[in-house]
Amino acid sequence: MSEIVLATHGLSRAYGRSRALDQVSVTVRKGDIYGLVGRNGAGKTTLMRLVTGQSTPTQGSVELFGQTGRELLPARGRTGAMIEVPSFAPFLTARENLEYYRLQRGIPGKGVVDEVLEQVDLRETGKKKFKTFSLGMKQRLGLALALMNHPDFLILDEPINGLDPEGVAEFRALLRRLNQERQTTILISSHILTELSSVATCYGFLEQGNLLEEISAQTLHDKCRTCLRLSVDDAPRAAMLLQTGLGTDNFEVLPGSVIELYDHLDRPQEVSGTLVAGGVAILAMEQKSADLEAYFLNLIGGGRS
Amino acid sequence: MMNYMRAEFYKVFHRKYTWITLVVVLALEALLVSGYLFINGHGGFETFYSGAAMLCVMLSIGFYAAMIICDMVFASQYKSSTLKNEVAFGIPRHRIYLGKFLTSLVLSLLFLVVMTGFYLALCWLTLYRDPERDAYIMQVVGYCLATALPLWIGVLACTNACLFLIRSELAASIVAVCVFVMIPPVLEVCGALFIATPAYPVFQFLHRYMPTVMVDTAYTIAGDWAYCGQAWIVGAIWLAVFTALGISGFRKREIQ
Repeated sequence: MSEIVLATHGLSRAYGRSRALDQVSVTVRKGDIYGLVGRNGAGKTTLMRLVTGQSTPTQGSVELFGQTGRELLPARGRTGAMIEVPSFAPFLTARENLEYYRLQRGIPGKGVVDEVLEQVDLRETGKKKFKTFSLGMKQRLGLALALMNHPDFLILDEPINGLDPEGVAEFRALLRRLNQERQTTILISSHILTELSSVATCYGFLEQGNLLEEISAQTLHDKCRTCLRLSVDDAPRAAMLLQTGLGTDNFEVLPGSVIELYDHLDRPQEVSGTLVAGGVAILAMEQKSADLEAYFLNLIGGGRS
Repeated sequence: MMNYMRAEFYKVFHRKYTWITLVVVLALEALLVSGYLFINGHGGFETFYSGAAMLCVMLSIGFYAAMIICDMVFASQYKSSTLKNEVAFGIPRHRIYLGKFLTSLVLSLLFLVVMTGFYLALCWLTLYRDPERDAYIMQVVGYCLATALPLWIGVLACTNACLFLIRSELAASIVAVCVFVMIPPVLEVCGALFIATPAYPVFQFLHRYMPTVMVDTAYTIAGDWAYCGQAWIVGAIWLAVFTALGISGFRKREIQ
């Protein structure tokens, strides 16, 4: 079992009568890219704000690198965060802003500023002040700050907002590189679920402040994988025919005489022919596939009400 | 803390606002001295003594200068939402608070040295001098500065607390001004209203030890070191009270 980087225990945050987060317990392990999925107002940003100390929980606790309470402060020094819109001193340039935080955080070596500016492709911004930056440039600078101290744990809230397609691809590659080369653990939220699904190794689904499910990408993939869904009159016989006639046991028999077959996807006529020839009536047959978005919508009960 | 302050100084000295403020203040001082020269050119007799004495009657400006410097260091952190970058990195909130306060304090002292030094040097170089009187007035200036300094620091602590506790900088500045400018006349009025009651000496006592009142009195009783000591006690009380208030409030603050 790998080291736990972040664990929240019954974390709650209320604003007046409204509960932004309700008894949420998530676990992020070392090396995970943990995708936080949820609608607007589901509690993703609140969770990240509680983890980074911008807000205090009304109930529950945060454990970071095994540290809680007062020891959380030094543990936060091992993290890099970009929560909501990146914010910097508007009257300073990209380099000056990063130099300010480098000094403040006591990070040795001036070269680190150029290094991270290079990483996020902002090296050529020169004397341009932050207040004149485009949203994409602001996102990149936010990311640069989050990376500057070579964090063990990155917390990124909607990090690809405002990035152009090239920027999104670079960002995706950067995250993978950090995760693979430096074993950086990442907690990331995004509305663009296709992007999230291309990097995440596990997911937490939030809805109205509650954690609905935590699931690994592998399990999600298994649940979502494409299959031929067959509704038949005699499932045991159909299963036997699939094994003997088609030589496959890559299928599942589900309640209600339903069989999900995970191969022969490009040869449905061969499947139907084998079953019909074997005396099995096919009541329905369809190719079924689901992605992260479909899974999420199904989980929260059919999408936006 | 040293890292934090280094960073704050880096930011302050990379901001045009700082340099423009300094240049404007020095230009105003030069304008004042050129006014003396103009008077001297038209039959007047402005001396280094009278020029230096002007410093002692303008000590109240130090309160507003403290506010401006505090604002310069705080640098609209709520407006630009940059405090989250510091908190998220695990910098303790008391360090953020004290770091900004100490930076403001050191910067204020730097400004004080530059501004008074520049003004006195201009007066020294351009106005009539009388060694005996000049030595005396320099002692008075020294006394006034020594008395005003802790009171300025007290007001600096008050402004810092307001900036940390009130999201709008304008509102924070108004509250700070109300605290150190409006309270003395309010105390005076209260004293007058309750003149025949046991509350009267309390209002009178509080009024006497308000920073603005003490600073205005300093020049008239120059050389009274007991009074200077009282100013340091009052300044220390303001510093302790507003710093405690500011830190405790900022600790619970939701950072947007």
